[in-house]
Amino acid sequence: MRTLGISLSGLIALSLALVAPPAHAQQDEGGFGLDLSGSDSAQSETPDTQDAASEEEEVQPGGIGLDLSGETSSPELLPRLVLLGLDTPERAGAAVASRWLRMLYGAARSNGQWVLSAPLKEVRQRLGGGYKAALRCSEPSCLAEPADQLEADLVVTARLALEDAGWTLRLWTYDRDRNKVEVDAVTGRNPRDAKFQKAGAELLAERLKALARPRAVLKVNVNVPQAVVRLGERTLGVGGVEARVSPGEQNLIVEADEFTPYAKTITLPPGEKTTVEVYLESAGPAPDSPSEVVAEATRKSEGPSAPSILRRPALYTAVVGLLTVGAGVVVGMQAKEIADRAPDADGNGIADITRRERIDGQSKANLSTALMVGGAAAVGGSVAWLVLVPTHSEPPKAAPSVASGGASGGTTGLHLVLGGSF
Amino acid sequence: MRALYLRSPLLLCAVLFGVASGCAIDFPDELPYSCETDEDCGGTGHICTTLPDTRRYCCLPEPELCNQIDDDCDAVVDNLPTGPCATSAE
Repeated sequence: MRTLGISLSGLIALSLALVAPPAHAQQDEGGFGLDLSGSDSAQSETPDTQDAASEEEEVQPGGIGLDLSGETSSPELLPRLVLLGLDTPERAGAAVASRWLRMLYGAARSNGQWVLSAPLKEVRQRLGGGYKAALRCSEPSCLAEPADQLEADLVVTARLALEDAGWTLRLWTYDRDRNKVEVDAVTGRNPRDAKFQKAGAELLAERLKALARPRAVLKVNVNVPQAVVRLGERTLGVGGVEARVSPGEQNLIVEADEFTPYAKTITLPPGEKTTVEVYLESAGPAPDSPSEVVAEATRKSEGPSAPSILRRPALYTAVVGLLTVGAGVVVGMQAKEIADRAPDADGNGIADITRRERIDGQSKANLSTALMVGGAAAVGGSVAWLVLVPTHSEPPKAAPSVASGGASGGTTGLHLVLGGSF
Repeated sequence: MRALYLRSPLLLCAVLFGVASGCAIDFPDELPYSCETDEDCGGTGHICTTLPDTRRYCCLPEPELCNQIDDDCDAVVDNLPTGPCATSAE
């Protein structure tokens, strides 16, 4: 078995030795393939005969292909870098633009500190008509939007132009976290000069190393699905969210209608995931109700209780009926009192009340009868409504109350129902 | 169980009907009613008539007949000018 292992190692080494030279050649033609050289000096020896305007689109970021730099840990937490391109106002600069771009992409390619996220062609497609404005932008105000569109944490735009001090490469690096643009420049006598190009690439690499910070991942769990989660001035999403954010102290705000907002300053360590549990409390009158769902459930559980029966018209018609019966009884008692005095107590052959009293008494008796009959009908109908309607809509309710009275069956149920009715 | 619910309002109605029945009032229609003035007789043509023994009662005047009743409510029974009662009165 050991013999077999040695043979395999030798075979792999031989394969790498055979693969390396053609890979170098491919890189010179466009940046594809393996780059095992570790140096870009060979490029300076290649004569530049390309037209910048036509070749610029073919330039691809150096991140494409196998990166053997050695640092490949947690790429999702690395800052995303986008190189917008190189602006070349002069024709002489445009002629060497592709060479410069290769150098810049070589300096900006993905490594253990950042990820070069989009090739130039994709950048152009995603920015559309705003690409040229973004390429010539040197202010945070006009670089913030492209950074958002490209989901980039660092955006670099470059310009190679003939200035007073000679040929100058200017680099504008937009730091999305700080909303700030860092400006770097290097000058040279000839844009074809390999040292000038290398200096520009090193300048970019140094700037990126200084600005690149690992991202933090913030996960927010919130009990209200419609809650809006914001970190600083950035809206992360609605409900539970997980997002790559800039590390450091940030102000987390979670808010939703009818709930008390949550605000807290949190520290997000770079390269780490932070989870925040947010529990929004209802802003309604019940301070203990934890959420709208619970409050709704509470309201539902209170539905069939006393306030509900107070809203039933039958209750009030029953009360009115009882009052009517009571009035009938009072009037009837007055009529009865008159009738009790009517008989000839002294035996003189004449009733002891006047005829007028007799007429009034008869009227009161009739009124009493009408009041009592009407009131009794109203009470009876109302009670029937109160009793029969719940029986149809909530039949299970009777069963538990009967069962709670004991196991004596129908007799116990009769007592419970009658006691409740009267 | 539903039958019990149906019984309860019927039972309540029965109780109320019984209460109402207990309130039945009977006035003595066979006796005349006392009075002090005509107003005590409640109108409708009744007048307060004073009998010779000072008793007063409400009377509805009608033509006097020979029937041993003071039909015309003048406190005199069968005071007719002619006929058997007139004869007997004389």
